[in-house]
Formats: sequence, structure tokens, C-alpha cells
Amino acid sequence: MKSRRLNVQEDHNTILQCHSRTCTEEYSETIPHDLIIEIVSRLPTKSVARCRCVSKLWSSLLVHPDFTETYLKRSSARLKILFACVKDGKVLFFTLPQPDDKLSPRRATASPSYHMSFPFDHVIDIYSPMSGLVCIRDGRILKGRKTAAMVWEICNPSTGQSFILPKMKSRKWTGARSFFGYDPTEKQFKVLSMFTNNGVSSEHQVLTLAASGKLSVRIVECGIPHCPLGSGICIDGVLYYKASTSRLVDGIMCFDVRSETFRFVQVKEPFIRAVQPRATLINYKGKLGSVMSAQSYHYIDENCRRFVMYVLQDLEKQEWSKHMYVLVPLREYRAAKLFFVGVTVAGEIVLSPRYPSSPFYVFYCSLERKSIRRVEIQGIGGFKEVYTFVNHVEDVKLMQTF
Amino acid sequence: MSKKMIVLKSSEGVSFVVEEAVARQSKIISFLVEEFPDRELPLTNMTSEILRKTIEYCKKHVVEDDGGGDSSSSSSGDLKEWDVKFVAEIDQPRLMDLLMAANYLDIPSLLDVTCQKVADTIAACNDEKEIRATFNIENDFTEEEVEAIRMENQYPI
Repeated sequence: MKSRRLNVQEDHNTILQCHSRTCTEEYSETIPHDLIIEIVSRLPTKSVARCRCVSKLWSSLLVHPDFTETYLKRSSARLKILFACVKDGKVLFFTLPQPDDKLSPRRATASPSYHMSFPFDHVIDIYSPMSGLVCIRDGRILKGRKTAAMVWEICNPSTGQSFILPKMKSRKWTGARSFFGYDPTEKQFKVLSMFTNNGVSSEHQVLTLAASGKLSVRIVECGIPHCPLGSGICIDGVLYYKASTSRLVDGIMCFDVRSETFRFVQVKEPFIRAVQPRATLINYKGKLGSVMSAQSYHYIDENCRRFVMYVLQDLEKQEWSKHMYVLVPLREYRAAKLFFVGVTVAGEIVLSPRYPSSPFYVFYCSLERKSIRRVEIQGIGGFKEVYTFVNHVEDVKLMQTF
Repeated sequence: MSKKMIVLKSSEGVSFVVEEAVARQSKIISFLVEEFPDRELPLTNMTSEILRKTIEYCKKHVVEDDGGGDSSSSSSGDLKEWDVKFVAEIDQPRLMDLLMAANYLDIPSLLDVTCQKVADTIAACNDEKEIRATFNIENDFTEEEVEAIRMENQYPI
């Protein structure tokens, strides 16, 4: 677009003369490339894949970083709710636009868009997506083997690419714990893995998936023997997870994804509950939060209407704010167990069922407005398991590793 | 006080007399009237038909400043509805011409609505053949090449 200004010449009679044609000419030669990018970046991922097959020009434009970065940027402004649904040896991905909390009605119905499925043998866990990529832990029967081996596979539900991470270099394979993180500065995905011996971590390894698609594995020194508890959450390049040191001190382990360094911060009373084993770590408006039911479970059900959230205000001083929330009686909504899945950028805490539920509802709770919204999601109630993720971005970059 | 008018000339040499405030929604025209006041501006790559359409859009979207601060001639909801109707009535080749005009004249809001309309048209296509047909694009791929791209994308399309 900038180059257009250069066309404005001293004599304005010459402007805009470069382009004269009739309507029936081919557009492919005449549409400026930045306009093709502008138009295609507005399309759903499925249409992007189709456009890449249109012509050589379109194909080369639509794999170029100018396009993929424009698409990612635009996608960051239209975040999605991602559903990863497990059934019959497959994980099926659906997305739904993440609604604007202020404009949305208290009760609504939505039909998510189906993207694609990936084959899996026995899904053990699905990690929260990082910049569009989803990491899935699978117990897989590999060729020529009778017993299942643990594999970590990275999938991009926006392109259909998937890739099994190389096996970690370790003598032991049992007791492995892994966390998925993203460094927004270097645009690198990293999987931090550790093996536990009597509950205490050892052999810390970092697998890096660089923006170029290059993979590398590195052993990192931790220096703080600890027992990782529960899942982690990555916020602005720092991976947080609950941990207990070998001296049984409870706290938060902070792993800087870029520098690959560890830091342990003890959590003391009266906030010790924030790191209790069943608390779910969340990203509350860029701050680390911890949420649990009033009875300290990682879900709520019809017997427990209240939940509590701690938000870390100052890591050094160990200042947490505490927020209570009372849900309307769930029986009215005929809901099953509702798990904490995350917080939208607008600050709504999102809860959804994990197991078959009909109708399938997603709840959005606003602490600020003390309100709750319910969206009925059509067509995904019958799966064995449904993992719901918030703030999903779509990245259509094709990686060479895949 | 009478409103300042400027003259825009299409490729066929047809002159359009337009209020300056209307035409200034184009950043290029806005720049040119400051650099070259009191001259008519020849837009030699725009047909009268497309120029008329562009002016129609700009007239609808002009923000009138009559001393009482900004007051758009229509409410934003009405404008949005009008925009949808405006682009819906244009056939595909003319829509592309209008999009190009919005791009050359640098009218961001018109570029936005035309790009969105073109994007909606592509989104409604069931395969790449339909996209080619809609935009009159020649397929310069061999079947093997298309197959290779499909493999690379791995998207079930």
C-alpha cells in the first residue's frame, strides 16, 4: 500500500494512468498482491487451503510470511473457542467465534464449524493451544509393537499438518511430565519434559520447535528438585506450574521459555490454597490466576455453586487477590460437572463439561458484572471427551517440519 | 457559505462536480487538492460508471461538519446496512473494479467493504475451480502440482 504513494508524481495528470482495462480481463494479473493478501486474510482456514490451489501466483503469495503473518494478526483480533472432541480413535476439531461479552445475550445457541480430524490411539491429554498449535499426548501402538508407547504429537487444526515429536532421550520413559510453552519473542514452541523419580523431577529436557520448523532437543539444568503438580499455563513467555519441592514447600515454578531457566516461588498462607493440587491455573487478563470450586475441586457441579479465584498481583511480594463467585443453581441448567477451561480476553471465566452432556453448554462468568451467560453448543454432546479451549488463534503457516 | 466543489474526470472524459468534503474521503484526492487547488483531477483509469459508484459511496459516508461537531449523515447501523446493500447490487467484475478504485484512491472504508464482499464470494466457493471461474483466473497448475499442494496443506478440501 505504501508504494502507491510513490506513484504520485509532480504532474498529477500522470497519476492513476498505469491501470486501464476492461472488466472481462483476468483479475489474477491485475489484482495487486497486497489486495489478494487483504482479501484472503479475511477467509476461514478451509478457504485459505482452497485458494492455495488456485494458481501458481496465489499459491506462492499465500505461503509467504507477508500473508501468514497478516492472517495470524487478523486471527488474533477474532479469537475462537476451540473444541477438541475425542471419539473412535480420532480427535475432531471445531471452532466457534468467541463472543463479545458485552453484546451477547444471556442465553444463546451456536453451531461450531468443523475443521478436521486427526487419528489417535488413546488420547491421554490435550494441552492448551499455543499460538494456534495443539499438543496432544497419545498412548500409541507404533508399527511392529504390541504395547502402547507414549507420543506427543503437535497438530495445527488450521492447516491439517501434524507431527510426532521425537522421542526424548532418556533411559526411563515412565513418569514423564511435559508442559507446552511458547516464546512470543523468538516465536518458538517448546516442550519442557521431566522424568520423576519417587515424585521428584530429574532429567529436564527442552524440545524446541523453531519458527523455521527446525527441531532441537537440549538437556537443561533445573537445580531445584521438585514435584510438578497438575497442568501448566504459559503467559507471555513464562510457563507456570504448581510444584512442591523436595522439602515439601508448595509454590509456583516459573520456567522462562526463552532463556530456559527455572525459578521457584514459595506460596504462603493465606494464599496457599492457590497452589493446592486440584486448583486450575488460568491466565486472567495477563496475570496468573488459580481457580477452584469452594470445595477445592477442579470442577463444579450441582452440589457446589461457589468457586474461588486467586489472581497473582505481585510475584515477589506474594500478593494475591481473592475473588468469590456464586453461580445460579446448576440444576436449573441440567448441567453435568463443569470444568474450568480458561478466561477470555474480556475476563470471563469459561466453564464447560468434559464428558458427554446433552445439551452441551459452555458458561461464561463475568466477575466484574456478576453475571453468567450460557451458550448451547450444538452437535458436540455425543463425544467421549470434549476439551474446550479459549482465545484460540488460527495460524495458516505451513511448517517444513511437518 | 457555499460549499467548495471540485471536478473529477473519468477515463471517458466525463466530468463529475463533487463537494470537496465528499471527495476528500479519498486520501489521494485529499492530498492532491491541497497540492493542486482549483484544478480538475483526471482519473484516467476509472470509468464513469465506477467513478459514479465511488462518488455515490463517498456521498453516503461523508461526515458533515456544520459547526456542531461530527455528525454523520446516517447512524452507523443504517450505514452498515446501506453498505451491504450497496455491494450486493454490484456484479462481480464491477465489484473488482470498485475494489481497485478504493485501493488506488485510498478510501479505507470502501476498501474494507469491497474486500469483505469479495472474501464472502470466495468463502461461498466449494472448490478451487469455482474460485478460478469467479475471478477468471487461468489454472497454470498441472494436476500433479495441485495434488502436491493438497498434500502439503493436508487440509481436507
